[in-house]
Amino acid sequence: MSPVRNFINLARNNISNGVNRSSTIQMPSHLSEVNKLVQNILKLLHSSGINKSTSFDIRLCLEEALINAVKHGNKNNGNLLVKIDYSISDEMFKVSIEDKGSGFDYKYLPDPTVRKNLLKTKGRGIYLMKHLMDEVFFNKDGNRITMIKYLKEER
Amino acid sequence: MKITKTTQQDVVICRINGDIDINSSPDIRKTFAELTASYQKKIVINLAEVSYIDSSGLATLVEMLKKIKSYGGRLRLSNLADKVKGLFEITKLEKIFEIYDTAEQAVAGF
Repeated sequence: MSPVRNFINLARNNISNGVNRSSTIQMPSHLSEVNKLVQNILKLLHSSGINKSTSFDIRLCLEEALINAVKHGNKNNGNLLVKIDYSISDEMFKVSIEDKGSGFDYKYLPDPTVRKNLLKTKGRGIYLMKHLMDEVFFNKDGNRITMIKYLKEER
Repeated sequence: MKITKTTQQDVVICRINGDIDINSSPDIRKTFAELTASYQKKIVINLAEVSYIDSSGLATLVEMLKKIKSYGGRLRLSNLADKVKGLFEITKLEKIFEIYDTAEQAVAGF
């Protein structure tokens, strides 16, 4: 069974009262898997009634975090998996994304908005995540990111 | 993702249709490499049909801006959707890009 199909089945199994959904999926480290996975999570969120603006924010942050895990964490090694834990409730969308890499120093991230960095072509992904999600934090090693977006106020 | 190029006087207008992300960025870079190879000095990118840009897409636009500026050219952006414009505001890229409401305004200002 493909990882994405497995993901859908797991998600269906966790539906409660039509709105609470949670799942864990192991995704192979291929960039081609990222878009499919994100679209499936967005479908679940849309059925919960999120608006377009929130959908944009969650899509961007999920894709950024998954791409980071595949490219920088697992070095595009298709044999390594990225672990995704997510939950959807009336109140929030919460997701944790963990790769098999050694992590990075998340405490030191150059500010991409200062003048000397504006023309740089890297370093905006995590900055965007921190702005578009309500909470973003890492585990100690820096190989797992957790993001929360509160949904309550938009309904 | 599709790019349509038109010319008005000495300005090349590139209308991008689709997402600008890690998947489409290589194709966008290729199209703009053709323009910069001929030292095209006035370029407008119309983003009316772009509803999604990720950090890789922003980086691609920055890369193009740097290249065009390197030979004295100018790059302008127009027709940004609200959420796309929001990304330029959050990242402060609005400070280095010339952003116009419409392609006509962008062309007229050159």
